[in-house]
Amino acid sequence: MARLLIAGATLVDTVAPSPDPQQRNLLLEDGRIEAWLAPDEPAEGERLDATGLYAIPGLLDLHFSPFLVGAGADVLPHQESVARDVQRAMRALPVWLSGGTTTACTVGAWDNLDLELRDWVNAGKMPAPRLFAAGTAIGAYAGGAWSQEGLLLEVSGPDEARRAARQQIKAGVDALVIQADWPGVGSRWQDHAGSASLDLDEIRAIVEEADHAGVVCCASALGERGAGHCARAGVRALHLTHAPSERLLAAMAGCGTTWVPALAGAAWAAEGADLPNSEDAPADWLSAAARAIQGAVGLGVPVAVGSNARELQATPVQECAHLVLAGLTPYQALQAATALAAAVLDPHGGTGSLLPGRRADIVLLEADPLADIANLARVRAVIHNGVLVGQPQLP
Amino acid sequence: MTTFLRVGKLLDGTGAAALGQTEIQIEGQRFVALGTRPTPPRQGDLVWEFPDGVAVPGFIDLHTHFCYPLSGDFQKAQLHYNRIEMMDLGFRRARSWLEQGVTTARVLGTHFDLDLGLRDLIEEQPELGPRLLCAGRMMTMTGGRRTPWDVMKDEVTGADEARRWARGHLQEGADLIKLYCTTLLEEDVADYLRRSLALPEGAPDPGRWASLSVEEIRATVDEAHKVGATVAAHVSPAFGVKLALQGGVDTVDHGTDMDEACIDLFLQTGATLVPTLSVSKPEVMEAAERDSVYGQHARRRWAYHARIVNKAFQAGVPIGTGTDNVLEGMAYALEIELLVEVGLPPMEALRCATQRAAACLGPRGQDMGTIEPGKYADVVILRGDPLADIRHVRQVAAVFKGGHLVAQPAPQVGGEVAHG
Repeated sequence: MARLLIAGATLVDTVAPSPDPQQRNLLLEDGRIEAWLAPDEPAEGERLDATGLYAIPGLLDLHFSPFLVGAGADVLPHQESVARDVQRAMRALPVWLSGGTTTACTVGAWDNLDLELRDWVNAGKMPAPRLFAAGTAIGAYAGGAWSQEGLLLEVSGPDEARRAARQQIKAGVDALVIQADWPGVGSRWQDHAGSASLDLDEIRAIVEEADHAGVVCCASALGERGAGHCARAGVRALHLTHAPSERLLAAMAGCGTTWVPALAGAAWAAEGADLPNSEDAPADWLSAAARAIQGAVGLGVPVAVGSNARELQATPVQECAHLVLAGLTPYQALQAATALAAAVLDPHGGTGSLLPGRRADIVLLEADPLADIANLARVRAVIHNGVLVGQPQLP
Repeated sequence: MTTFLRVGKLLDGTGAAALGQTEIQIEGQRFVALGTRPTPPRQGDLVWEFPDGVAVPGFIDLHTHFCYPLSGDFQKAQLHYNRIEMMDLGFRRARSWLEQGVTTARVLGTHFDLDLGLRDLIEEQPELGPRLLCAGRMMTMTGGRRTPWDVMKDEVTGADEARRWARGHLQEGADLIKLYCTTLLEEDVADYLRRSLALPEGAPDPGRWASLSVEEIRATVDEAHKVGATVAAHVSPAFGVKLALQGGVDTVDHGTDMDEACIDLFLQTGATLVPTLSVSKPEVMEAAERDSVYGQHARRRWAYHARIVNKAFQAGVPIGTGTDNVLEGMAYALEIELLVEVGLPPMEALRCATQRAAACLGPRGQDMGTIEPGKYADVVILRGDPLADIRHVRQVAAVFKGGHLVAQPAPQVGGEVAHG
């Protein structure tokens, strides 16, 4: 039995009954958090002195495209080669882990390549977050840019949607991901005017199969209508590339849909001149998103962290900083990256909190993240599955 | 900007006697001159001094499978392939081969054409591995895939289908074509080897075989040569070697059971023999394979293979180095050492790794293989003279590819080579 005592840290956890940081020693055993001990309580096993450090749960990333990190905004998955995709992923994964992201859900891969990455990574072959793989997205036949590149499982009608969902579940996905829509003429997606979107009954069929199989169903939506369908069909988490209206947020609140705004990814994409996710100037888009995030919090829509990163600098840590800029408190931002993201991805698996019984995924910070969210970047050590992670080695 | 390499000794790969202290001048990616006296460098020039180093041309490995997955039984097709595992192996083996002095390699068969992407990546990031000439997927005859999951090969019947396949595959980006010319039609290779071992030496082969026809091979060679590509043939039994040579292939790879009649055909067609002695060597097989029958069979066949390679060399058949590096723990230098073990003089073994290997690469090979003005500046600096002791090919001090320093391995202890 591998035991490790993390001694002297201040625990910051958004699930614990008291929201205030507490001084407790953490006893880890076999990859789980076994107990919170008082500072003077004796414990056997190896001891890691964390005096003066702050312990938070390992962060989650609900919208991670490892094959595209470093590709820039314009590249589509597998536009070049598997070799290049894999090289990008092998560079990104250790950066995510050493920055404190210990669990991530991969989305938008070509040909379910992320399922093979998940098997490789979760077998411990390289330093990386624990991966949940959503595989290739299911979308409408003739559904926009991605369909042209063969990046969608294209369906027409609820029966085909159900078939695609079943095939993905059989292939071993941990989550199903839907590309909901391509808004037509008059939208910012002018280039793809005439592209198809999924209907409510198609999305319902996919969600139903996901529910039967016990996998979570997530979606990306570009417009209000597609997003509304997803919420009503019971999609658990919704990545939006627009700032949602009050009406959509109300629908999401009513259906219990989590919003994954992925601001950091969009902000970094905006650094490049060609931002595919916005018709407005990036600054305008971000400020609209910020207003919507405050609206979401008011209505009780859970906001969770997904990076949608095209750059190594757009990690969940940066996403938390963006959420605070948009008006969340540091506590709410930490909650978005831990408890709320875990509630979507891993409701029974035990990530997202430091409470006893949870997975021993812990980030030790040099300073209090609740005092300043920027302190999330001051990582002293990462513990993943109860094991101290080494420094990243880039291929 | 000029790069100067000043070395204690130089073997240019042509078979000419060693030169003493030499300065190699490089402009861009190519050699421009060799001299005996140091040139005063200008602003921005680069000077590398290896006063005790022996410069030889960058090595060429004619037979690699960088991305081939490890299964514990390399003859068995796997049920599930993991492309991440294959790329991880590809990155690690490519880098390891570069550190061992290999600056150019043919990749002869890769699932899902993964090697083509690796090749393009290396073009951009030269330190990742050797310059690659890739075959992508292989062509074989209908029924030649050992299992339905053997997705590394495509099957054809007839010259027209072979031609169509070759045209399509070359258009998809393959640099050369790998033919799986003969296939043992046995599900269980270990069982076949056991039956074979039970027979007296020299008895007829107990296996059932299939082969591509001469017409199919010829059509493929024709299409490849039209676009400056070449054809490599995997083939072991004598009858298959003859078919491949009659079909006009550029290299016969393995040729383990070829006979003396094959040697005459080699001389007629000018094809190169790539004997891949590394995978015939019993010790290599024994170390890598879980089933001991592979080692036992290799032990019986080694003397024959060594003898026929020696005869081919004596008769004047061009020979090139190829490792077939699918087994864990293999090293490029071993192939050169084995050529010496079967009777080639060290100078000739070195030429098999450089000039002679380049000669079978088609038009692309004209740019490499020797240290002569105009060729790619691919240089390996060894810590000792391979003509004095061939094991010095393991002692790589530095590797230059296209004029750039791409690897400076740490000294090897006790003649052992570290490999990834």
